[in-house]
Amino acid sequence: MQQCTTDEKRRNGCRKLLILSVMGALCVVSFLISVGKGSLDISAVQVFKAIFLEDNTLNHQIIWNVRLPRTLTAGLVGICLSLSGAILQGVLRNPLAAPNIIGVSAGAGFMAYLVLIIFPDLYYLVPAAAFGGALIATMMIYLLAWRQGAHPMRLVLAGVAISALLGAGINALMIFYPDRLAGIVGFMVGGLSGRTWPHFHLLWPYAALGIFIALLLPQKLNILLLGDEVANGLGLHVERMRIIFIALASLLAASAVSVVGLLGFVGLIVPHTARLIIGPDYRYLFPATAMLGATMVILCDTVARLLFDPVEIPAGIIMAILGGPFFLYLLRERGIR
Amino acid sequence: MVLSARNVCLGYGQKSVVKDLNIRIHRGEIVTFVGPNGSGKTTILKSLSRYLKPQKGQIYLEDKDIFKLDTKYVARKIAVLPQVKSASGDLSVRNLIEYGRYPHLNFGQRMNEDDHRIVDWALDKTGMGELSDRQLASLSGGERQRAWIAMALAQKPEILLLDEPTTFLDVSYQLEVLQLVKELNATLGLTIVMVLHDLNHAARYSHRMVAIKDGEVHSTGEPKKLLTGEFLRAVFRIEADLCQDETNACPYFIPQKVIG
Repeated sequence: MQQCTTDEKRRNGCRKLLILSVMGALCVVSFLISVGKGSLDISAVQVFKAIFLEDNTLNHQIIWNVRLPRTLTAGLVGICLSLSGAILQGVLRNPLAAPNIIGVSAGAGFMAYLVLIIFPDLYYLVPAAAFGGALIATMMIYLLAWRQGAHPMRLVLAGVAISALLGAGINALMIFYPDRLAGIVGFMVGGLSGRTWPHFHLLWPYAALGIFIALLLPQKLNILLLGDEVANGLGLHVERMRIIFIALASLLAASAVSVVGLLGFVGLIVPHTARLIIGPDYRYLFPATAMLGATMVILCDTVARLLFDPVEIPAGIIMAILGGPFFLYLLRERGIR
Repeated sequence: MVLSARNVCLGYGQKSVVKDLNIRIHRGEIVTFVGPNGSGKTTILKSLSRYLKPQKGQIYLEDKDIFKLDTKYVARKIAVLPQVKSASGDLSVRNLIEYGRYPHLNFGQRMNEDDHRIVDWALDKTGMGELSDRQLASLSGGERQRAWIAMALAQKPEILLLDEPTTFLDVSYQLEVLQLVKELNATLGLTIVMVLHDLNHAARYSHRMVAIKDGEVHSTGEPKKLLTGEFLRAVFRIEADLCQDETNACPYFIPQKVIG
C-alpha cells in the first residue's frame, strides 16, 4: 500500500513534468516558426546559424534586426500577461479576473491616451506613462478596497469602479480630440507591429524581475487559495502575501502593456487553458502558464504578420479569434470545475 | 494551561462582539463552545486561532502572547478548520493534505520522506487512504470534511480548533466526524476546541462546555453538571425534558417549546 501510493505520486509527478516538457518544446517550435517565417522563409538550421554563427549575411540581418527582437518581445509579453492573469485569478478567487480587473488596462490606457492626445510630441513617453498609469490605478484600487484588510470581493468591486471611471476619462478624451485618434487605436487593440530591440530592452528588466519573483511563490498562492482563515491557520501572512501578489501581477501586466498595448485576452484564457491541462497546483501551473502564454502570443503574432502579408493585423485580434473558440472547445471537452 | 484568553474584547471595526472574555483551555481537553446564534462563539474561535486581533486583552499560547509569535510557529501548534474554507474542486485529496505540511517547511523547501509519511499517516487516521487520488469535487460532504481534518492533522498540531465541523452534514456524517474528533483526542492527546450547534452532541463529545451569551461567558462546566433545565431556559430560552443517555453516560434533552 505504501509502495503503491509512492508509485502513484511519482507517476503523477512524471506526467506533469512530461506535460511541461512538451509545453517547453512547443515554445521552442513556435519561436523557430516565428523567426523563420516571413517574406523570406528561413529554415530552423539557418535560423540557428544566423543567430549564433554568422554576421553580415542577409539572414542574419533579417533575423537579428527585425524578427528576433519582435519574437522575443512577443514571448516575454505572453509570459507576463498570462502569469499576471494566473496570479489574479488565484488571489481574487475569481475565474474572470485578468489584468484589467486591477485597473492595469484602464490605467495604462488612460495615461497613454493622455500623452498621445494632449502632448503628442512626447509620444516616446507612452510606454513609461502607461506603465505608471497601470501601477497607480492598481494602488488606488487597493487603497479603496482596504478596510482592515483587502477582501477579494471589495478588490474586484473597486477594480470595476476605478476602471469604469478611467474608461469614462478615455471616452471623454476621444470625444474632445477626435482628430488625434489614429495613433491610439493600435495601442487599444494591442499588437507587436514594429517592435524591436528598444522595446525589448524596455520590457525585459521588469519582466525578468516579475517572473523571477512569481516563480518563487507558487506554494504561497496555493495556500492563499484555501481561504483567508485556513491560510492564516497554516501560518501564511495573508494580507502581506495578498499585497505582494497584486503588486506583482500589476508589475508584470504593466510592463507588458506599456510595450504592446492592451493585449487583453491572454491573461484570461491562457491560465485557464494551462489549468485544464495540468491541474490547479500553482507549482506546475506557473511554469505551464508562462510557456503556454509565450507560445500563444508568439504564434498569434506570427499569424498576424503572415495572414494578409504584407498588411499586418494586430495580434490582439488574432488572439481573440483563435483563442476564444479554442477555449470554448476546452471547456466543453474537459470542463471547468 | 495551553491556550487562554485574558480580558479580551473582540469586535469588527466599531462593532463590539465580545466583552472582557476570560477562558482557559487545558492540555488534552475537548472544550465546546455553545450558545445562541450571534453570541460570539465563532468570533472567539477566530481570535484563539490568531486570525482576529483583540481590541483589548491578550491571547496566550502556552505562556506567550500569540500575536507576538511567529505565524508558522503558531501553525505548528494550532490547526484551524473554520466554517469558511475553499479549495478548487479539481484539487486531489492528497494535494490538499500536503498543504498541511506548509508550516513545517522553510521557504522553497520541498517535502521529504518524513513529510510524505506524515501525509500518509493523516490519510490513514481519517480513513481517507482509499480516496487519496480523488478530486475534492467528487467527494461527499462527510468525506470532504474528513479530508480537511486530515489536512489539519498533517500539521501535526497540539491543538485543533473546529468551527461547526458538522454543519451541512447528515446525521451519519455528523457522528462520523465527531467520533473521529473524539478518537484523535483519546489516541493522540490532541486538545480540541470546537463550536457546535447541537447541544446533545456537545454534551456527548466534550469534557467541558462553555456557554456564550451576548458576548460573555455565561457558564462553564462538565456537560452533566451544566446541562440543566435552568441552563437551557437562561441561555437558549427553551423548555426541555432532560434525560440520561445510559450508553454514553451523558445527559441529553428533548426541546419542547420556546419561552416567549
